[in-house]
Amino acid sequence: MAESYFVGLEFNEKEIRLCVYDPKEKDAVSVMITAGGSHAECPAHMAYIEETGRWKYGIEADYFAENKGAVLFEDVFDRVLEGRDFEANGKVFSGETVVAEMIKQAIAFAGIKVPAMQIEVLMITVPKISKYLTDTIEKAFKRMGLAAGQAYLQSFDESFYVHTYYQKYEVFSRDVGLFYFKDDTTVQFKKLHSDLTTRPATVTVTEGGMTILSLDPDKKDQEFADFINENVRENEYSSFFLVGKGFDRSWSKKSLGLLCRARRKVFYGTNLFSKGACYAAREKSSYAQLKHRSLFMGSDLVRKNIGIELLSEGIAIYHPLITAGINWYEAENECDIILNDERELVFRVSSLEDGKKTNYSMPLTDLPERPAKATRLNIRIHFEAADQCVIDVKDLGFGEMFESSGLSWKEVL
Amino acid sequence: MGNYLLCSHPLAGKPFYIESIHLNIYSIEELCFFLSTNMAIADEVILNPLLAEWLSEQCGIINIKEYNSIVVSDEKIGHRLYWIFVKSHYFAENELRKYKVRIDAFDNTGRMERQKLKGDALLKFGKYKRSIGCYEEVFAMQGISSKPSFFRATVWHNMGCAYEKLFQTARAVKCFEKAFEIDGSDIFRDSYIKAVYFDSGEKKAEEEIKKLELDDNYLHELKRQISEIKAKPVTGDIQKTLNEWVKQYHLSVDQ
Repeated sequence: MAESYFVGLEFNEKEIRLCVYDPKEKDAVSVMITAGGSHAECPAHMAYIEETGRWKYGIEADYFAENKGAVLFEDVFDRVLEGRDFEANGKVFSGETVVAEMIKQAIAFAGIKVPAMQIEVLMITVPKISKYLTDTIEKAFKRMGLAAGQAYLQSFDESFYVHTYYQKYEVFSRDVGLFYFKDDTTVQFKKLHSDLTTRPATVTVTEGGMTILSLDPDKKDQEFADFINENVRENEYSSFFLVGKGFDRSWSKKSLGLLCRARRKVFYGTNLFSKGACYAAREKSSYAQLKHRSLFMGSDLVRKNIGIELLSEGIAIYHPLITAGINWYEAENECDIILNDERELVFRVSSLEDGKKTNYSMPLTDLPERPAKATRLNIRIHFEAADQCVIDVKDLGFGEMFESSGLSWKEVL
Repeated sequence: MGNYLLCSHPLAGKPFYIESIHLNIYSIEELCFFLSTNMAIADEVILNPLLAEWLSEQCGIINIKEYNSIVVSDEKIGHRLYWIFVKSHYFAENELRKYKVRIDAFDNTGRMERQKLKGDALLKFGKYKRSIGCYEEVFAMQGISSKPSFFRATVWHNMGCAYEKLFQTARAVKCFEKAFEIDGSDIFRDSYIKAVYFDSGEKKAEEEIKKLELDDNYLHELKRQISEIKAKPVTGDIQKTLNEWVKQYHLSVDQ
């Protein structure tokens, strides 16, 4: 049987990193994704070669731009985040075309030449999420021939959580801190907190401060130590992760000493997010091990249940449209209903946190008069952000007996 | 709580076609609505051998063996009809009980009455030639002469309406005249005189009014009503409206 892989791919403003789950190692391992197998990361650049109509990624993109006149894009992530196209020599390429090409070329280094056949689950992890980005990446997945349930997207925060929970318990028995070195000087702090009193344990990641360190190594250590003291309270943490190439032991003697106090564990690496994404890919399969132990309450999480009370097969039920606890960019649903003689739709919204229930009424203005049970409506619900739910309703009429009015209504909750 | 009904299946990729009225049905809900509001021509659907396959493949109703085992005939379609209503879950419990009574009553309706109702339904759907065929079948049935006068007059009257829709005004006049002869009530009288007006003109209508010894007010009122009809303009695209009328006419005389 051909092997299929669990893949985690980190895609940020500057770089791409790739991890693949190795069943022999029982761990996610980094994949060298440059020609010659020398680097575990490469620039998130793409270049378009006019002569061949092809795209190159990473270091090769830089080479072709410099030496062969290819059109270079160094801001692939930002363009995708903002929904901007890629223009090269008068031609316009959509984000999904470029992203699909980038992913295909990166995963080819892991021996994945036919993604649809060789990928069990692919998880892309990104530092920020927008509606444009989720739409583009979803379309890129389709271009690659990946089916629903074969590819997903999640934030860095969620990758941090999964990565942490794949470690030994002592790593996360108390809070876990993450110092993310975005570049040589910029550091951001994040705190992972587990409420172990609940079943499953609920986990949150909150952003702490951000600072810019000096380039001078002597000053850098002190500044980093000050930053640690600002964000870390003595006994709250069981471990810390230092992520990114901007950290180096050579300048961090004092700050490292601070972190290692009270027998706290300190880990350093560059592939935390891609590894976390790889573990998360595995979590989407029957190998999942976190499902019943912990629940990640990320900022991308939908915190409300949205549904409608109706009759289904003769029984009055609450029909859920959106169930809280999933990421907003994965939350969408659609159904058709038949109206009796109502001129409005009433949705029931309940909060995940306090259970409070609210009814939202959506009037169907100008809906033509028809007999009872002779109007079919299509309801589509999706999110544009974690706190912005959009409900689109369309009048489908009733076959050839009552033509659709063409009317549609939109409500933003 | 809203009384919305969740559609259990998407719209059918392949509709069920009711040939006699040129209607495509795209869902089990549409089918139930159609059958419940047009019971008189439900036999065209229920007795169609393609219905079982459509219910199974397009509507996900899987108990087709059960469906096929229900005894059905030209005159007794009620059990199968009710079975569809129950399996569709389109109707609430109280509605089902109401329809059960209606279905049983319809199944027990006499042949002549059912045929007349069928004619009326086809007339409503604009299938004028077929509706005339139904009315003619009623008159060919044994025992028609012993039916109440109002029933017989109504059949003639409705046949007249069908002929009028086909612009066969002379035949329409004969039908309305027959209806008035059988049952002299005002409704049939008025229809007859109007038909004479449209077929032969105002002068002929006046003659009939005088024959029936109706007063001057009657003619005055008749003219007022007719002028109101004539005053209604055709709005919108005249050519498009005309094309639509021609199309409807062809469909109405379609076998």
